[in-house]
Amino acid sequence: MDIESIVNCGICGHPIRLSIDLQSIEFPDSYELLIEFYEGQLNVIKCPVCKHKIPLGTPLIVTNTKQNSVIVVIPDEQRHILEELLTEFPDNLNIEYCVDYSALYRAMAPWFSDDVLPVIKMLVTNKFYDQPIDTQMEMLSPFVLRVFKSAVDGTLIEPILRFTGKASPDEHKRLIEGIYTIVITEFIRQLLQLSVKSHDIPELNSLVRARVPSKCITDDVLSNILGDCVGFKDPLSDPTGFRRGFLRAYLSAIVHSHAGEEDPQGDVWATYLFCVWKLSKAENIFLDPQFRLPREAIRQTVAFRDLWDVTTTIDNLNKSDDRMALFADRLEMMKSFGFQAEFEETFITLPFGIDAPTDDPVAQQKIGDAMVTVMLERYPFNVNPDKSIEVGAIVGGNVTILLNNGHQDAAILVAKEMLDRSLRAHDYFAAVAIGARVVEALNTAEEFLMSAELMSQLMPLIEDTSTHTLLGTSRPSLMLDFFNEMGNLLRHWHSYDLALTMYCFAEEIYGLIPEQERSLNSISVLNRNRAIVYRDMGKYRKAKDLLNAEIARRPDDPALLFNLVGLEIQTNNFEQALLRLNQIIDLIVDKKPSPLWAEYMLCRAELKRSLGDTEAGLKDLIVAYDIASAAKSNRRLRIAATAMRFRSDESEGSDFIQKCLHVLLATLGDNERRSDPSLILTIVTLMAERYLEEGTAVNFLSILQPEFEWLESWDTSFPWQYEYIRGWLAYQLGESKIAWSRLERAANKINERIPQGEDVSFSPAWMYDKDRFQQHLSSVAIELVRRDELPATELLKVYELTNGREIAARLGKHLSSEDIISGISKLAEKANRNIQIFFPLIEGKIIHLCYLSSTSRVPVVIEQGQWDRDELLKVRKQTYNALKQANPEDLSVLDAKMQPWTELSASLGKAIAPYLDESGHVCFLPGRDLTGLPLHLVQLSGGINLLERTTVTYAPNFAMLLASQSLPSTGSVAVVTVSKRRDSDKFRARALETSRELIDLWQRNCEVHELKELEATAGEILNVIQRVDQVIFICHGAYAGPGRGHGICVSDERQLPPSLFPIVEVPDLERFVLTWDDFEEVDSCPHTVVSIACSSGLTEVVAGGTRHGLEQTLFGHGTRALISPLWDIDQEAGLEWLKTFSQARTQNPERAIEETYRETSLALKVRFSHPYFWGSFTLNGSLF
Amino acid sequence: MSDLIKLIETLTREEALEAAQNLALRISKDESPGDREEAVLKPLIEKPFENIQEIEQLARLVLLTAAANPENDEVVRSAIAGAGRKQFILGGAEIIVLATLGLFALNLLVTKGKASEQETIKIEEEDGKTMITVENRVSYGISQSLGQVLSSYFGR
Repeated sequence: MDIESIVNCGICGHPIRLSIDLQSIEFPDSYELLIEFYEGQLNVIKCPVCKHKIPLGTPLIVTNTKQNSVIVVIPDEQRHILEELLTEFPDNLNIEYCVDYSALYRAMAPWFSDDVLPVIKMLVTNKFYDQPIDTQMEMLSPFVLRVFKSAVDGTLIEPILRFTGKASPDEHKRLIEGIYTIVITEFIRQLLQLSVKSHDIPELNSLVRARVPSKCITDDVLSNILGDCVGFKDPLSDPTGFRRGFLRAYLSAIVHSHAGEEDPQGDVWATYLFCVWKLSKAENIFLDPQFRLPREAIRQTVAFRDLWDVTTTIDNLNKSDDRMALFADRLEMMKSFGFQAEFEETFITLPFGIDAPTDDPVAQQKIGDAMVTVMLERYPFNVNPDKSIEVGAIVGGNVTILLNNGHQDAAILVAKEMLDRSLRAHDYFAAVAIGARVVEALNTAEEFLMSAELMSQLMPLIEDTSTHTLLGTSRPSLMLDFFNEMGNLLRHWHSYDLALTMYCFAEEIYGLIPEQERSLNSISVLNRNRAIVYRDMGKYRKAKDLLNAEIARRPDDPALLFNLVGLEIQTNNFEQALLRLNQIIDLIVDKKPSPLWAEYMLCRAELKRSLGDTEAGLKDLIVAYDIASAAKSNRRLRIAATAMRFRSDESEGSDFIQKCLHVLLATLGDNERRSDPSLILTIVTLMAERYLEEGTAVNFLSILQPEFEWLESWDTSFPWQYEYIRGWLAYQLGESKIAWSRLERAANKINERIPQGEDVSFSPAWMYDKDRFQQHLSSVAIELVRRDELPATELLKVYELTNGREIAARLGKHLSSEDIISGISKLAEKANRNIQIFFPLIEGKIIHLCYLSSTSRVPVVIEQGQWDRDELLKVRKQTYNALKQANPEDLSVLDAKMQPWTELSASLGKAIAPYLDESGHVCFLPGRDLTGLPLHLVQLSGGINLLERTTVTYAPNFAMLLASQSLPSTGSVAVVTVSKRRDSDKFRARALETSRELIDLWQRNCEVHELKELEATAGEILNVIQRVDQVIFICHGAYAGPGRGHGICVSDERQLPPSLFPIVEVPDLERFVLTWDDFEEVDSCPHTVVSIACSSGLTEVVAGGTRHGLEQTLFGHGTRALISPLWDIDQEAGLEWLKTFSQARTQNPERAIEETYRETSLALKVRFSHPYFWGSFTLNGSLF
Repeated sequence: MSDLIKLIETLTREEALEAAQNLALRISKDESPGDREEAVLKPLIEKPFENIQEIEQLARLVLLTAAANPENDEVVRSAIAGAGRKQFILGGAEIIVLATLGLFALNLLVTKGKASEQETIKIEEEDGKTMITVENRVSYGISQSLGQVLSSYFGR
């Protein structure tokens, strides 16, 4: 019976043409179909348009032999079709007709109730194990087990397990899952016992597969069975253990393969098989025939690679000289196990002495020649295009094997020879296939020089239009692979634009592949490779978007995730990278160690070190080293080089580092490795870095110097790290001028690479690992300027590179010393006054204050202006705490605790006093160590504060100072007022009243937007600030944790900010605070931002001179003046300051903002005499 | 009950915390809490928000203990008057600082800086409640966990 039918989708109406057969089901043997029925999934199709599931109600015949019954599902109008068929059934058969599946469900209910439910009831009530073992085994039919599984999963249409009692549904679920796991595990164990008792061990594999549906084998069951394994036991010293171990490993291998999972004990099982085979060959040993398994069972339960690995290991242990005898032995075993095809097809390499010495050129030549001969014999060229492409795969596979076993020379010989032969034979399909596959293998092994040589051999062929067209049209997939590998190679040679072009070609070719043959995986691989190129080009945004899109499609793809790890590392987001990497390692943890695994472990080692966990990192590195296959492989050498970055207090770790050092020294003496300058560069840079850190570099000059010379004879486009190391070394040798030249080159390279434009948000983190370099740069510059060996103007450049470089990136400005001097002169000329800039630079443990004025135009290092950094930082911390904890009602404690600052302030005052010009303007660029100190309140002689003498502003660096030549007029203002949940009525009323007054004031000249209390959400504020020229925040401040720094408290639409803000303990509170990173996404920020939120003027300076504070993103998005307090201010004084400032600004908008700012502060002094009240605000930004 | 004690009892949690900090800083002058305070308070300050009730109790205890001595009247009032005036919301780190400062100040208040006068403090269990009594003037119900902290700190 075969009925053509059209079914219309019930949702979208799409017509689906179907051929419906009468389906026959045996109860209970057709258990998978029956389960589909009981889960409501039998004969259900998915609409290709709307994906709606459509039940077909296909006609069925369900036969139950035990009950002598048949139930037929067929619509009444089609029943006649069956009549002929039914005449063939015995007369005494009970036949029942049903019109649909619901009726069938009811009709089968008695069968289900008789055969299944009682058993399941016994299982869950633990009465099952009261039954005799034979009864138990009989009761647990595959159908019962499958029903039990579906019942536990809750997928049956009508649940058969219902629980009562106090436990929660989750607890019930856990309980029933536990029972299920025990039942299945015990059943499988019983099957093993049964086969042992009945002397039928060889058939255990078939028995388990017949009795246990594969879907019933869950991870927990596998884990239990795996837990029974005891490892490998020696048959001669522990025969009982050997037997037990064999059986358990066998059972584990069976259930894993039956469940379609890789057996983590696969190597142990392979060892048993190999051992049994060896024992079977031994003349004086009688082997129990129970150990001899059918070939099918072996093939199903052991992976070829496990078997191969085990045999290799054992052969190596034998240390036999007769390699060919061992090989023959192994071949025989593989044959008897049914792996001959794999052995011969994939591992052609084997007969040619994979274990031959890797450093013997004669042996390498022999291996290569022999392999080429055999391949040419077995895989001739020009048979047909498909066969030719297969040759490429075979060559690629063998080259990979050779490389993985350290036979670089033989691999290269094979690759070159086979490519050459294919070209001479004019088999272009084979040539391109060999090119693609071999280059893939060589790239993976980091043998890029050879990849390039092979590709150049193929280029004339690819450039020939007719060949190109022939290959592209008849075998587009091949060309796609080729261009992809070509792109990868170019990527490794840093020819990024060309690499992208190659991927583009590949994508175009993808369009030529017939639709049915297309694999989305190809596009995914291309996108991943593109992302790597963008990452390496520093186009992080594009790279991240591409990777995230691919990861969304394939979240469990370790390679994709690893590319994202690379991106996170390149931008120094180590915590994120480690999270991703741990995710990858979790994905592959059950797999066998591989070169990629070594790469992951190497990467994790570096990450852990970067996060300060050096010992743990070193442990990962040791694992990576052990996994990396061949002793001389580039990867292993790179791991050894990485070890130079580690220190260890444990003997295992320090021994490993020493071992790596010896390996590296030996490599440097090995001329063969000279073919790869990038590897030598890595080794030399990391070794030199270690010696420099230890202060012993001078002692190792005889080793390092020739390497530097050799490297520089190759190339001069070194990464900044190399220039830095050379500069550092020169500095240690007292060659300051050379040191400066090297460091300057490194600085320029850093400048060129800092993320800009659409990638600028990556720049803060990108700067983190430049800290040590920056400090050396600064130290060398100061010393050389002091010695008159460097123009003092260079100090400006140094300040700029070492402070807020990410802000300069956001501004799109990196200024030369000349730009800075001329910019300041122009400003001074425009304002008709002297501009005096004070900025600190670091020289080791000393901080120097430097000075530049628009009149002198040359910076000077102030002689009296130097302080011990540690002491200064201590004072800064004390000052911060004192101001933070001040009681506005009683400032006596503050006065006492500010004593260290008073002293520092006086000495700062003394240092700057000789340079002060009464009519000038003072600007502090506070750098790393002075940031946060109230420098505008520096004490001058006569006990007056600097701000009382002159206008004072701040800027993070020269780029910001000179970012704007004029402050635009204010046409629109936003006033944001948010109190916290439990502010006193008085406090809240005062804030709202001031807000009202400010709105009235500004409304006279401007458009005013008001955001008040609950409506002032982060989203709304970020929206409004893009439309106004000025924003005023009358909000609370809060510390949002390391990395986010101080922020402004806002509402979350439903609630005001809470009265306590433990954000580390309750991260969810983040929604109530706006910090610098929240301004990342806006297009523009107002030119003026005024905030009374406590400490919102504070910036946290982290490694690399990166500044985490509101200034970073506000300035990056257009803000040019940021007025905010440096400490937790008194509300009344703060509001008063705000009103006075707004009055002055609205009355006299043309007046310079720094004048208004100063006058406001001094006006406040009349009512609030203590600087705690009147001096809390700073003006930070550009000069106009 | 004096009006100052009443005032302390009506303070919101945040005001009490801030006032206690103001007072503690004033009392401790040049001295600062050390490792001992941090170690004893560890169970509370590891998760300050989770233990905020205990820290609040400690803050009120500091204020009440100081207020029990008429000599401190002015400083206590000044500490309270300074609370709730800033545009700031206390975070976890500030609460930790405050707790250690508070404990340190409580010790100074109780002992007046002299170890021999430690007999002035009693921590007792009464009807399932923990009570702390200072100098027979302040009697204050505290949680069991704060009771344990204080017992350990004061050696009771």
